[in-house]
Amino acid sequence: MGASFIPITVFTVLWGIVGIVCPFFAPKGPNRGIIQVVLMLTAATCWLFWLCAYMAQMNPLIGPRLDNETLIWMAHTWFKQPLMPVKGQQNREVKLAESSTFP
Amino acid sequence: MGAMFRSEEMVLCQLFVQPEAAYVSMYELGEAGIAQFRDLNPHVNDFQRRYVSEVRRCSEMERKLRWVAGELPEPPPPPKPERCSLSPREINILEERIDFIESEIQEITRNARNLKSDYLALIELRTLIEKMQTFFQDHSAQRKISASVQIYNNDAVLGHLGFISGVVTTARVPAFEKMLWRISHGNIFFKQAQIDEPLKDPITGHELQKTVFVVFFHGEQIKLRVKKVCHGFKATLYPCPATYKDQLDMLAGVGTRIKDLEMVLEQTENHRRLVLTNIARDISTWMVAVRKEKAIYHTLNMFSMDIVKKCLIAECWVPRKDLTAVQKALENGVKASGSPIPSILHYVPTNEIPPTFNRTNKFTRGFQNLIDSYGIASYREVNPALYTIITFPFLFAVMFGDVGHGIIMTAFAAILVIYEKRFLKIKTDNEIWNIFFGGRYIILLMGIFSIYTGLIYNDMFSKSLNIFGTSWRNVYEDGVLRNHTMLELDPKTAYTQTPYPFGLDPAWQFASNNIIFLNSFKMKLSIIFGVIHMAFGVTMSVVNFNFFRKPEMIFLQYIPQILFLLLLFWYLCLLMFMKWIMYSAVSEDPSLGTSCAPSVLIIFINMMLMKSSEDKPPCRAMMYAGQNEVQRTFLAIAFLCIPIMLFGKPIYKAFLAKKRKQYQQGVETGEVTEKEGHDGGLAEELITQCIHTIEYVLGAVSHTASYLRLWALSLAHAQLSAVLWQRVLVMGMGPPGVTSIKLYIIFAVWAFFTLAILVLMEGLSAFLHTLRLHWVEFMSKFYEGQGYAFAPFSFTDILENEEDDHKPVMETNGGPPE
Amino acid sequence: MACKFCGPKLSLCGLVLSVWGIIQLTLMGVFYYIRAVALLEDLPLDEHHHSMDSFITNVETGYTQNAYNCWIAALLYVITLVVSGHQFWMNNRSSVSM
Repeated sequence: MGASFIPITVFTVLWGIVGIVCPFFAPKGPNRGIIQVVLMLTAATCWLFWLCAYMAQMNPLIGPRLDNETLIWMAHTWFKQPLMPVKGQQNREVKLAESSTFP
Repeated sequence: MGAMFRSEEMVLCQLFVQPEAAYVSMYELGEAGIAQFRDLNPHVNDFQRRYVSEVRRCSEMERKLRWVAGELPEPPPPPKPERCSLSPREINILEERIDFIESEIQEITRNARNLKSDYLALIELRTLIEKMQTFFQDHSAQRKISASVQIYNNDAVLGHLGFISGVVTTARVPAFEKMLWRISHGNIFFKQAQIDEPLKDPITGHELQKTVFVVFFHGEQIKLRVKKVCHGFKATLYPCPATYKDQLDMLAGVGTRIKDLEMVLEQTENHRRLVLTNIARDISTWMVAVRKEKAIYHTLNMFSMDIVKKCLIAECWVPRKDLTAVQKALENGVKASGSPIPSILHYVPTNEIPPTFNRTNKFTRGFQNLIDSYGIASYREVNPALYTIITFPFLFAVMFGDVGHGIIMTAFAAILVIYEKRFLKIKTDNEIWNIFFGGRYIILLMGIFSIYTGLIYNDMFSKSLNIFGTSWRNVYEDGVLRNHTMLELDPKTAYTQTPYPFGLDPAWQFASNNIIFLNSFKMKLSIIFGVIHMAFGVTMSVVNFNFFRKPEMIFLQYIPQILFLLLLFWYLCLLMFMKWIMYSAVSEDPSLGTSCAPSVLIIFINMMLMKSSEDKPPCRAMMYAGQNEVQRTFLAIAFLCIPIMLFGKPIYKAFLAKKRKQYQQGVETGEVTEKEGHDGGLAEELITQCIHTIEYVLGAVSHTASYLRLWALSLAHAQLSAVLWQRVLVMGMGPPGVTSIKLYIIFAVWAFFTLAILVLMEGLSAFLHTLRLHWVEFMSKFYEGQGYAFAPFSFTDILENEEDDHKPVMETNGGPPE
Repeated sequence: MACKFCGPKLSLCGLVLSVWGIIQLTLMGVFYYIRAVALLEDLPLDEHHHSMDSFITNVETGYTQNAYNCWIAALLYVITLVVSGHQFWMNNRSSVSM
């Protein structure tokens, strides 16, 4: 299970406030009903949309296939991983290999 | 549920109004725009109605005002917002005033025209004399002629040569000369000179090219002939003294007359301008007053008289909420007329279908128009426009999801909305602009939702934002990284097991297999939202059945329909959710691992075909225990729903009819209420129901598939924007220097294509697809759309429409004559 | 007006384009400057690198160069903004005075 508690709670509560709490405080007047419907529908659609995107990534069955240069740079900036030089292979060029996939 | 949930309740009212009070009452009703009057004398010819003379009078005034407005040097300022009706006396005064102004302006114009033609003649004469002087002087040979002429003029009996001088249009000169030559057998001497500065025609204002001529001849007979020819060629003849001294005298005289005339002309022009500016301020206000007056009499013409011709009877549809306003208008009318007899309003019960009236404001009007262009809602049925306010921009944004394009769209609409008052004042005929401006709130919401969906898709001009930190990591060592150009991250090891919290992971942007991932995600998304949207639409029909007191239809139509939809298609959605939750690359049970993840679509197809598939260890054929049984049950129930949809309603009706017959026989009432007279019988009922059922069942399948357009369009949009970035904008990248100028130009090109193709064209196509999803897939589930729109008697509508009608007329009425 | 060389529509177009250009190019410059991974594909990189370090330096110079490139282009748009703003103002003024 790849779900984590915080984002689910945060976004559910956020859209819950918009869709359930806010309608109670809609300004009185002839348009009160319209505003309530607008708020509820907005919250429902946006929440479901977010949920689908979240669930689709909860348990990925495939991973992104990346160019090695991109991956090196991602490792360098996003993951802050130290580069792991392997001895004896330092002189080989990055683009030398045929377009083989791994694994 | 607010004002828009269903159209307003309408009441058919009958008004009894005293003719004296009618005018003021109608004025107030016209201002309020709350009553739709019915023509009570449809068979009466337009010219035989009661208030024909008034209508004609108003038309006449309108015509005059339009003519005067056309005379104004610049378009008149907009009318003052005056909210008072004109009493018949005031109208009379106004009419007199308009008559007076019209005749005054006409007279001034006529005078100016006369003066101008005089002026033209004088100018011509002046030029003529000037030219003549040169004729007489330029050549020594002509001295003789001039001498002879002097003799001739001094003594007519002795005369040798006479001459006639004048001015003729330049274009006619050659023919004129030829003709003169011919009639005199060559015995004339013709001399001409073109007038250099063009003269202006006093009537049309066109420029005229004219030529001065002088003809010398001998003898009285030829003189007559020459005169005739001159007349025929429309030459203007001027008397010209023959001697140089006389000419000079005349020239001086003409000069002073020209000066005088110029002064008079200027004064006339000033007077005219004064008169026009005096009325320019009021003319629009008068125009409005006259048009209102005309509209009132036009409406009064629809009323009928009672037998004693004492009061007018009117019938109108009024929203129940506005009845008090109508009552008040009637009372005010009575008060204003001082008549002792009050006006009476009473409701008429009727079987007629009232008009559909949805009260809208500037925000909701655009959405209501989207629905109305499909078909006006039947009276009091559920109005889908209320839900369209959100579902429309949302479904649009699913296809258009891109933060950058969303921002552009939002900014555009925001400008329209913020400055709407300023834009409202500028009325243009530009249809495209009017469409955009009318839909500004729709565009604004579409833009905002596009930003949201763009954030979820993590797509900004095809680039991703890494706000929360990607949940993928690098698991490869350096050497591996260097030896392979393409590396696939394994979800088992490279995934951190906490999904990216908001939207799609930015790592997918660079992935060469991101389409596979996006396709699977967006397709599922489309189906989920599609099924929910359709189920929502089907459920709307319950509200209608409840309201129209057809509770049996809930059981005979709604429940089978919704069961059919949910058991088959929502089950498909549930399978998708189950697949997202159950199957994982890291699961310990190999049957729930990556390699065993089933295709939801294939499971669904197998369910429909009732095929059972074999287990292929370690994978299981089914996702959960007892799935086969559950699916079979669902399928059975869904198919059981079809006969209920098919036969439920006709059998119920037949049953009802039978029961009624029995009841009538039992009571033995003499009068037969033969209202259920449309005895098409069971067969016809069955056929209609059969069509409906087939439509629904096939529709459920095809409409679900139709929602896949959400996926297709959003994919196309994302790909197009990626291509545009990679193929165009990247061309400008490089070391600073000359490439900066290149980038400067490339950016403009990129911006143009982004705007033209991605925002405008793709936006339009997404808009149309969204419109279709609402009209066909959503509204077909509950919407009848058989109503007709409420068209109240309202001054604002009338004035707006008239302005449109008369605009071309005003233009052709044209430029102020010089 | 000697210095009025574009009409109201063209100057408005230039105004909008330059505002857009300034905002987007400045932001893109910032993103290049902080080495945003999303923009890696846009770098004009050499095909071969002899070592990881040379690759990293190559990428970094590419980022910096693009950042400055974007900012210079943004500056050019500032000039465009000034020019078209001036033109727009001229057009507006002349239409008011008429």
